[in-house]
This record gives sequence, structure tokens and C-alpha cells, in this order.
Amino acid sequence: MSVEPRLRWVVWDDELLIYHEPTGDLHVLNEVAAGAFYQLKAGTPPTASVLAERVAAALGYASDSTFERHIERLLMDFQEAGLTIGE
Amino acid sequence: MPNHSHSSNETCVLQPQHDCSRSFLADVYETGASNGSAAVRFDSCSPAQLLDLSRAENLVWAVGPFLIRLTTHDATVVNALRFLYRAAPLLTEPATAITDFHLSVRSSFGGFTSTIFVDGQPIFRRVRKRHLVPMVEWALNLCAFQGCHHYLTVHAAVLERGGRVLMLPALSGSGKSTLCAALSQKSWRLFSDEVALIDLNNGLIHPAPRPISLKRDAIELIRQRFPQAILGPTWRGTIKGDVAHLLPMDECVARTSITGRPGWIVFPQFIPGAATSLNPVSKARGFVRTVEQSFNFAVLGSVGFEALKRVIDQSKCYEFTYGGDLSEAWRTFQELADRD
Repeated sequence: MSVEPRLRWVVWDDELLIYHEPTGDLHVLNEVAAGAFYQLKAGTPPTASVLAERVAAALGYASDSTFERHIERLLMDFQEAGLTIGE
Repeated sequence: MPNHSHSSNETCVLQPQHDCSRSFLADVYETGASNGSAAVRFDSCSPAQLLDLSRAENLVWAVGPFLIRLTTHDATVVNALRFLYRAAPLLTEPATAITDFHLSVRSSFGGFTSTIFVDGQPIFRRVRKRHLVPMVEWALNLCAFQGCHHYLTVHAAVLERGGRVLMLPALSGSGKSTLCAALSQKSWRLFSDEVALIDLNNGLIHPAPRPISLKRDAIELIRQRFPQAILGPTWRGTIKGDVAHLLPMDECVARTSITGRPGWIVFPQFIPGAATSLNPVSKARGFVRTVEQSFNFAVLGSVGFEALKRVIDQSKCYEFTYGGDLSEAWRTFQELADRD
């Protein structure tokens, strides 16, 4: 799984706005989703456990099973929205 | 009255649209209307002269950055436009002008109704005579809404103060026009009541001041609140109810070539009786809500994204609710302009 290359984005305050060029869709990501997106962009392995750990560390959150499930759900959302490609 | 005659040997004073036309239009707005070299005020021509021009497809005037050519034999339409666009520059060499839109009004059904065409395509058919003028105005809206992909266009009222632009993107019925009319009467320069024209190259916003279309109760409200405002006749029973047009101030029209930089994007909502409130909206949400009101964001793709990004970068975003108290609304926007 990797980040779709045909994206444009901009950061304002604690939100990330992504423009998906192939569909024209816009996505507003909060800081956790944005953190996960950045980690993927930086090449972090797309597994929920690793991502959850790194995002939590970056944002000063505790990484527990709830947070990991949240990241897992985010990864599915990214895939569904076309923000990531591949398995 | 200038001499409108021409010959095929004359040098064309007009340039094609887009970049090179801008300098021409700037000249038209800033000097042409006074020295008569390229344009005169619309209302400096008599109704009969204007009708002759429109019959000959030679009635060409500037609306914002656009040149409009009108063809009609209908004196009512010509007289109404003479009033509504009284301060707009009318070209003195129209025959050779390369125009952005060609509007024509042709009688149908023995003169009982008319069809309105834009660039040869019928857009309103079987328009009753008594609704012809407001429908011509809507046809002009459609020109700006549908045919200007060299701008990012957003359905919004737009005003300027101190060089900074206030955009009010909203659906019809949100109180946008009433609010815009009130602000335009009190120290805000009208850019447009209908469309924001965002420059794709630099994110600046271009004025296109035209009559503000007031509907139903807003007509009397503005008439009473601003007795100095110049309104045209009320056109009753149109598809949008009663409609009357508030003229932009002559000074606004004269300054059409002066663009503004983005300042505020405010999403208005009129709720009868509601207290006035202004609340911040995040830039990302402001972006999405602005796109929802854009006519051509999808057409422009990433170019539109970059243009709007530039605008939002420079803007503060809010949502504004008001219940009809225009004084309070005006104070709110004054404070906003003074504070931000």
C-alpha cells in the first residue's frame, strides 16, 4: 500500500485538505488522519500497529488497542477514498 | 454621442480576450468613458440610437472584464439595459469588437413571447414580454456562470474594502443579495452580487459590478433602509417571485479594472428573526464549502485547486447568521474589516 501519487494537499492549522486529482474529490483530515497520511507518505509500513505507534508518538497520544483499531479503520477509509493504492 | 460608423479599413482598436484585452478594458474603464476614445457611458446614447445599434448587432458594452454584444429589436429590453447599465462603457467601435458573449433576443409566437440566446444557443424560450428584462439579466448571469473558465468562478456576492475582498458564497435564498445590497450602500465597493471571478494566475479577484437582483421582501427593505439607492421597476411574478434591480454605484463601475486581494470568506445564512452571529470556520472547511458553490472547480481540476488555495491562504473564513437586522449586519462586517 502506498500513497496515490496524483494528490495535492495543503495544511491549515490542524487539518489537512487533500485533493484527489483523478476524481476531483476533496478530503479534510484531522490531525490523527493527517498524521497517518504523513507516515504513509514517508514510507512507514502500512500496518495498523506500526502506524498507530508512530502517529501516537508524533502527537503525544497513548497507543492502545482502541487507537490501533482507529488507525486500522483509517487505512480502510484511505483505500476506499483512493488516497492509497495497492494492497 | 460618438460616431459609430466604421469601415472595413479601420484599424481594430480591440484586442482578443484574456490577457491582452485586460489592458484594453482597463483603458475603457479608466479613461474611455471620459475621453470617448474607445467607449462612452451607456446612457450617453439615446434609446433610439441604442436600438439602432442593437438591431445592427452593434451594441457592445463592458460588464466587468467581459464584452457583451446584444442583438434585439425589442425597445423595452434596450431601454431597460440603458438604465441598468447606465455607467457601463459602451464601445464606440463595436463592429470589430471581439466579444466574450453574444446575447440575442428574438420574438416568437407572433411577438407574445421571446427566446433569449447566448452565443446562438437558446437558453430561455417562450419568455413573456413582462418578464423579458429580468430574464435577460439572468441570461447575463449564465454567461459568467458557465462560460468563463479562464477564471475560477464561485456563486457568491463579492465586495471590497481597503483593497481586501469579502466573498459571500451561498445558495440562492440565503440572504446573500440583501446583505450585499446593504453593504454596497455603506462603504463597501460592489464587485458582484452573483459571481466571484478568481484569477487563476495570481488569486486576485476581478470586479464585475452589475445590478443586484433583489427579490420579494428585500425590495421594500432596501428601498426603505436606503432611500438614496437607485432601484429599477419591480418585475412581478417571475419564476423567482417579484424582482427589482439595484444599480451599482457609478464609482464602482468606473473602478472595475481595479482588482482586490482576498480577505474574508463568509458563508451567510438568513434565518428570520435570528440573532446576528459570526463564527470562525476552519480554512479546510471553508475551502470545501467554497468549492460547493463553484461553477467550474471540477472543470479546472488541479488549476482550480491551486487558485482557491491561494485565495484561502489569504482569507479568514466565517459563517454568518442574521435575522434581517441590516444595521447590525453592517456593524459586524465593519468590525471584521477593522479587526482582521
